[in-house]
Amino acid sequence: MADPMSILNFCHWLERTHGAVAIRESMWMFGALISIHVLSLGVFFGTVAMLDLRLLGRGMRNTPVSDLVNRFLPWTRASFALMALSGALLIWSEAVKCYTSTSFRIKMVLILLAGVNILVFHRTCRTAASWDQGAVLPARAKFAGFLSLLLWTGVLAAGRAIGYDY
Amino acid sequence: MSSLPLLEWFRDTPLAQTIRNSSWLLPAIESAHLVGYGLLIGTILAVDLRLLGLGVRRQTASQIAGELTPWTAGGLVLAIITGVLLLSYDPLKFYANHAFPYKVALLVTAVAFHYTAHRKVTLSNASGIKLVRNRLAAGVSLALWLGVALAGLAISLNPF
Repeated sequence: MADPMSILNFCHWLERTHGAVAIRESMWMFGALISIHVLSLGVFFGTVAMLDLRLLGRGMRNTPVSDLVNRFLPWTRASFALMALSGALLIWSEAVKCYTSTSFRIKMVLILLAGVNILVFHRTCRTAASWDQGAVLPARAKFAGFLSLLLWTGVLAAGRAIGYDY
Repeated sequence: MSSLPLLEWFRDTPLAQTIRNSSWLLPAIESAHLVGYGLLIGTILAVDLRLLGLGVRRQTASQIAGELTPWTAGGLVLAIITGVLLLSYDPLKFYANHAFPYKVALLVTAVAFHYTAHRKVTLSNASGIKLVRNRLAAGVSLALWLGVALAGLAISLNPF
């Protein structure tokens, strides 16, 4: 007997709502959402990777870190918002498939970890203006950059793998 | 002369067979393709935004491009190598795909534009005098690369 309060039941209910059915049965909605998701991924991953590579000392060494952040953070944020919105609509339309997909769960955990990494970095590192202009940064800043690259690449790969999970 | 025998040869190479027989190689190569695409788009966006007069003014487009060139090229090479590997998975499918020739044509145009006219404008270091030329180069560049990405999406979303 299924527990009426289970997340799985909620997902079953969710993907039977009018909006979810509309997305699934539309000729173009699904493709449009995937396209928005992947186009904003390019902007997001690109701007994040540039900052990470700067932290690792592998590029843009003459640019102060704060300059890079100021220049690209609006783009990173906007593209993330687009990815989250299109992603949420995709989950809505295929809630059960997402809930039962191992890759999807891994992706969500990795996004969470990447978020924690961002919070820790912005709380501890960014306030330290002492190394802002330095070509070679302290180990913890390098580590934050390395971790970010690793986690976001993992998010991307896990996302790609969802399509192969069923 | 038909290119079909060549595609069949490509399909039957050991490399292509290895990819087809693996359960994880195809998604892994697709992921690497997206990483290359992200690096390419991000670094080109950085230069084009500067050309458009948006973002930080402290550095010229030429300086930004100078620092990002290896990563743009790296992203491009990664995307092309993984793209060829993805082709090998089923060359005949791409042969029949209507979006595929558009992607190749747009990619060739975008790369040619990037390393000729775009590069010339970027390296000229003119930040105020020839604004129209800067904006035109950035606009054409962004439109071309967006076209490449959209054609790629059309290939993956449309099996025909």
